[in-house]
Amino acid sequence: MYGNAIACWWQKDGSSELEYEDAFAVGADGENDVWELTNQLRFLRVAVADGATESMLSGKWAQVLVQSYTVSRRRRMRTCVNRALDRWPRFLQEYKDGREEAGKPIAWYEEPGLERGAHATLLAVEFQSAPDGLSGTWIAEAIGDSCLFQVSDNKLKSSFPVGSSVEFDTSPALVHTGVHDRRLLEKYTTSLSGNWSSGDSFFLCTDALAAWFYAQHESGAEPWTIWREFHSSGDREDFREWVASERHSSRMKNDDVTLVNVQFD
Amino acid sequence: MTYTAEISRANPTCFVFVVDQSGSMNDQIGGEVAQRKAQVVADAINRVLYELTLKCAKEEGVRDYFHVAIIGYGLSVGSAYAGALAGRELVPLSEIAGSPARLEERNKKTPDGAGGLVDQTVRFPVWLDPVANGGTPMSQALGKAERLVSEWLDGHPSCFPPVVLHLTDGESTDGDPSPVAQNIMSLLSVDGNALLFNLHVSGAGGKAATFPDSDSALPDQFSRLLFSISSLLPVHMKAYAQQQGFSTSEGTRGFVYNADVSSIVQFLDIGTRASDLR
Repeated sequence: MYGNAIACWWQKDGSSELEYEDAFAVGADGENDVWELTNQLRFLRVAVADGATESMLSGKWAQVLVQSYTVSRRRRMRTCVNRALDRWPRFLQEYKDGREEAGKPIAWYEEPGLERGAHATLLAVEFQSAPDGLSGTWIAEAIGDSCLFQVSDNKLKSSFPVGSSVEFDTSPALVHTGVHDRRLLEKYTTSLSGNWSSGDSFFLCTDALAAWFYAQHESGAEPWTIWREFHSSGDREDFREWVASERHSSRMKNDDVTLVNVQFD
Repeated sequence: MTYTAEISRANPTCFVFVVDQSGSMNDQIGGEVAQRKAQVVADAINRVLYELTLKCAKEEGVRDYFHVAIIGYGLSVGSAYAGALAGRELVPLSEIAGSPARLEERNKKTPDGAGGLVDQTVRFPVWLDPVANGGTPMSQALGKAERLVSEWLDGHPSCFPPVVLHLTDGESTDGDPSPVAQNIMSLLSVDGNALLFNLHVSGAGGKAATFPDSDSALPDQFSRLLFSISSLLPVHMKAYAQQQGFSTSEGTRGFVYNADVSSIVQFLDIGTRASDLR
């Protein structure tokens, strides 16, 4: 497959960079949030996740989830989530030990939150390429409201898993580190598959951007044109200024935002 | 009147408790378990503050989405914080989290993962002790809450509307509190009117009620008065009340009679909720 992927992100207004609780990962070689897609690449895995504001360590959990998906191959999302769930207790113990060693033991108000566990959405997409590298298939799986958009011939061809701007709220389905009944993961996982061709754009994003995208599209606009500009300019400052402007005008909710644009040449 | 303003550190809101500490709060509340009213309201406030703190707790500390005051009224009217916060009015939540008067150890039943329950010891913070002394200057106390909220709105005109939670046995000794209650509910941010909720603790018996839409089942004039000076629940709060199993209608008010009030913390949106898959 030929093309590249680029990630743009920005934290919620009033938060520091360290408090950004979304996560993204791309299973290809790259640096500085840019990944080149070459014809040696037959599979590409991309994931975004959104850690819940109300839970502790949700940003870290979001990172564990996206990495668990993109480092594996040919495994369904729920298998990767199960692996992440298995790894989490060890991570949590290391976190607590680290706090003790740093002389910052867990405070009373952190104990219930750590006990309750971390929560995050997860959107995972695998692209497969035909031998010529110019077309292929994709399969997306999701728990929660992080979204995928496919734009082909300057038209919105696919959107997943949310269907419109009014469907977003503050209670999406979330992958919880303490989920006892793992069959629930299957119950809440939705999936969609399709084909891609040279020239197609895919956008993976967290909810504030997705709600903005739908609202624009529902009003007749072509919101992907703006997002493609960030891709072609490669300038993350442009993205951040645009997010600030949309938030200021109340067209976009003040939330952590993440956009991964996969562009097939 | 949208009640959609974000609650964040950049745009915090305030929460004012007004607590009856008059001599009559030494009496027992009605119900199966005999408890002093003063203990019931102190527990209720400590519980709401606990839940509010947990809601805003992150790895780096507690985020100041809320500034909170506790106004007590009885022998006098003023700040009712115990411990290091004594005498303070609106206090940022991170400071509240860092300064409980003490941490008590309490037993809590938690799932054992095999379908049963086990006892677990948890640390429970106390910011307010039960007090019962003197008269019931309810109007004066609500007037102080009005001043605090009004001053807050001067500095935070775009905030989510402040919430005042009044906890009492309902027998005011300084006149009808209705006018000052209406004054509180008429205070405005650009997002809506301030909200006044009432928790009535009473020995009058009758059925406990949470967020009723009518005063017809309430047992006496005090509970009916407090119902009448409670805000109608905004639409999104009614939706959260429904999620918690309460039935609601157009007339549902922020009024609770002899029941747990801590569920109101769930009415406040600070971002994505930590709900588990079920």
